[in-house]
Amino acid sequence: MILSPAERSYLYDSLSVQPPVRPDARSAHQFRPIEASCSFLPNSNGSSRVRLSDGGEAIVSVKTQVVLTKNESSLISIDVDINKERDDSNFIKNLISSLESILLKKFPIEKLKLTERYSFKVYIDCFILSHNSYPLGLLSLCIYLALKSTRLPLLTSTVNDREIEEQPTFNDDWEASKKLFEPSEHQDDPPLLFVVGIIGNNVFIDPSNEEEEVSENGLIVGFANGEIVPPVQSTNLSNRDSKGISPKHILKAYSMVRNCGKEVVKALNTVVSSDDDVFTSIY
Amino acid sequence: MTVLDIPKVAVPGQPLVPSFLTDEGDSISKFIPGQGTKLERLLVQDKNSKVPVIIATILGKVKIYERVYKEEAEAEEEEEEEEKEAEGKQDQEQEELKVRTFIISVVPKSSKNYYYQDSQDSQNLQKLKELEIDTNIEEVTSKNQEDVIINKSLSNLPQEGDIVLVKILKLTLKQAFVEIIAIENKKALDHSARTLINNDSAPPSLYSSIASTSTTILQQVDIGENFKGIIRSQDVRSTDRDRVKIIESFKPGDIVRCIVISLGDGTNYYLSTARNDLGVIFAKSHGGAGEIMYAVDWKTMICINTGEVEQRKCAKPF
Amino acid sequence: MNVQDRRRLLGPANASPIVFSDVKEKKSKKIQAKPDDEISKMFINTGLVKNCDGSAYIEVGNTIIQVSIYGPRPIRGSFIDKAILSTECRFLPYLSQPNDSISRLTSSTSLITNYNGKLNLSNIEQKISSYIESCFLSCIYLENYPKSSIDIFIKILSVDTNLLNLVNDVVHCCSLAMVDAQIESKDLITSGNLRYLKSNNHIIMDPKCKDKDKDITNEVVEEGKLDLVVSFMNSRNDEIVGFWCEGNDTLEDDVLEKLIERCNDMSKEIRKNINFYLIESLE
Repeated sequence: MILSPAERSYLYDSLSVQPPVRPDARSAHQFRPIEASCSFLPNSNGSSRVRLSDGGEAIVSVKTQVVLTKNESSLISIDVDINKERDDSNFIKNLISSLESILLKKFPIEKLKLTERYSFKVYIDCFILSHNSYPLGLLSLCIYLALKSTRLPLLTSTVNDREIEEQPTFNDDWEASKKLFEPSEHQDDPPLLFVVGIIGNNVFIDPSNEEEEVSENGLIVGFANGEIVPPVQSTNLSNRDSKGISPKHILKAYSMVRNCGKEVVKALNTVVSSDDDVFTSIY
Repeated sequence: MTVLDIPKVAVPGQPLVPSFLTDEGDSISKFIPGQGTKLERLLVQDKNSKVPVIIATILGKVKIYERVYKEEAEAEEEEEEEEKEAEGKQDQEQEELKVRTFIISVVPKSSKNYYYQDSQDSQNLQKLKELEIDTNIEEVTSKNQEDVIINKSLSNLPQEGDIVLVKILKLTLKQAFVEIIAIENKKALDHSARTLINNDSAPPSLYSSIASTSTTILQQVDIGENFKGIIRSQDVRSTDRDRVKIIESFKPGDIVRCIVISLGDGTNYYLSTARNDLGVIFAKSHGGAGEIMYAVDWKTMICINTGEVEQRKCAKPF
Repeated sequence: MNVQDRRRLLGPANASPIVFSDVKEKKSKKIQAKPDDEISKMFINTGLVKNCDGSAYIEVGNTIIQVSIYGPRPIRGSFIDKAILSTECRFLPYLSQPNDSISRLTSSTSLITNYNGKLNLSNIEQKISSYIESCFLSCIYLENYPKSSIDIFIKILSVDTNLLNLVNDVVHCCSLAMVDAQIESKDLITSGNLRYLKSNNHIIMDPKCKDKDKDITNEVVEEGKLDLVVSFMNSRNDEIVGFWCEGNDTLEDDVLEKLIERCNDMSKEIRKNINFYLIESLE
């Protein structure tokens, strides 16, 4: 998006006053309204779709495959596809590596182990139909929902196949399947990534396209189980007028993500529990 | 007089001097950023508010020049406003204040060719005083040029008002397409030229070296790394502009001295030769196949060996 | 004519197999472990590459990095009032890239060549490139260079450390090259890198250790480790231009503040050295 100098200066000024005045009248810690649904793809283990108010839309499908553990370098594979964007572009690769970086650390890998020899390999395929702002936040929400709604079929064959070679067999009954992320006390929720924009002394979550255009710097902050987790990274949301930040900004972004992260998780969990029906949530 | 505590050499980002300094209360020194420096607002240790400070933007030696006005009266008026600004800072009677203005710049090691050469390290006011009576300072008094100096950033990119040397690439009826080889008083533009003309990175002193290294320049291959420009037919000369024929003004391969009139579009700078000292300075007859030609008048060049006469829009050689 | 295998090229009849002499593995000198609160020594040099506008070479331990900068050079296409900054980081092809968790997944895809026969950048390379780019975007006076681009090429010749420590060295190398290229910048960027071990509340400055390859099932997880690299503009009120945190632990506010502080100290220390080198080089 190209802004005129007047638009730019108006946006910059209004976003740098205390408290910031955002163009869509949100407060600094408020997300844009999203429309989210999950488990709607019959052929995948888990799926979700999230639409943003600015027209951004993403679909994530989680599929699993039974693999020989020793042949695989990793049990999780993430792929991001964006319309009209090359697969090897810096943009996509950075999205993937940010997502991988956080998912790998907070993934219940032990649940993927089937037998001594076999495990599930999880393929997370993300498709961004359209996006106006930096799609990482959107994608992260979408992956969260997809993973939360992911079900793995129940193993019926024996777990110990070290001596006797045996292909794993599964219970046909989908009702008997287990959830990959079971809501329980010692089970973590999938991690989330938040994008935070920085202008002047202000930080604000989930920047829209115009806000990104004038922001001086940005932060990607990881969040899991009510706590900030790495990776935390600075990133340039626009390549104009970027400036350095101070530790104060980072700390501010921290407390903001910590506070609204909980709200977001709560809202997303309601979407998952109400399963198939389309649910609109506004924080 | 206090000795200014200005570093002799600077690295990028190094604060050099605040924009105002007082000397025992009787005069104020005002500093203006020149080449290789920028005015920024920074937090200073013992203050909470941001203070305007001149910082270095490149690595090099710090040079200070005093700005001297020819017409004192006119200058005084100008300074009035700035003095008022200064007054707030100083809490003193403004009538007693004498404002001396200095231009501070950072000169990289490799460059020798600047608007005024100075040999001495003008580090303190004593030396600056010497500089005042130096003949070099005469150049500074010309106000026009001074402003040019201040506005110039160190970047070796062509800017509006720069005198550039270009090579004619292609002619059409309406304009001549050129490539910019060098900017006067700056280092050579492109990498190939830089390594071909001079082995060290010292800037070629253009007028003196153009003859000796001209063959190198002409042989230089086009690797698409040079900035391109256009001389439109109406910018060739300042009189009788609508009757200009490009073909009677330039030929491909000519080296032309131009002034940049606009940054132009994405690919081309807009250049002009509409001045006596601008135009073709170097050309060979027969489209480059013949010998070097010399200007006879402003629109003809002659080849001394063959007596061939060709039409060009020539620059006044002296 | 005797029966000969005509399907292959056979060597002369009297050929004998090559015997390699027993090469004794050189006993590597025991590298003295660097104290945890010390910054490792580095060797720096600038202006080695002659056909670029600025270059720098840096050696820290067994890690060798070379950066060359081209620019400002003309762009094609439409008018822009500011320079475009582009960064490309490449490891020499035979190097094993720091095997941080992020690079493991798509390592197989990284070998695919693109249309012009060049190897695509791997995720790690992309990640380093974009970190450097975002640092220098806030540092260079891009408005001084209209209609042009500034290209940074980072070549990693040898690597013997973890990812974030490598990034730390790359930042310094780029800063030096930027000074050598005489590109006007707001400041010289230096950065600090440290590892924080939660268990004993211990900080290792400039950690040189390589990361162990993690097991596929993520079993070898060292508990409570945070890696941090923060890049500063130290003469500009210590503005932060780049921030990158990896690890597997939660991030507390007070810890983070302390870590940034320590990174800043380290950055200042390195800045002093670089300043000294630069001023020395002027004489």
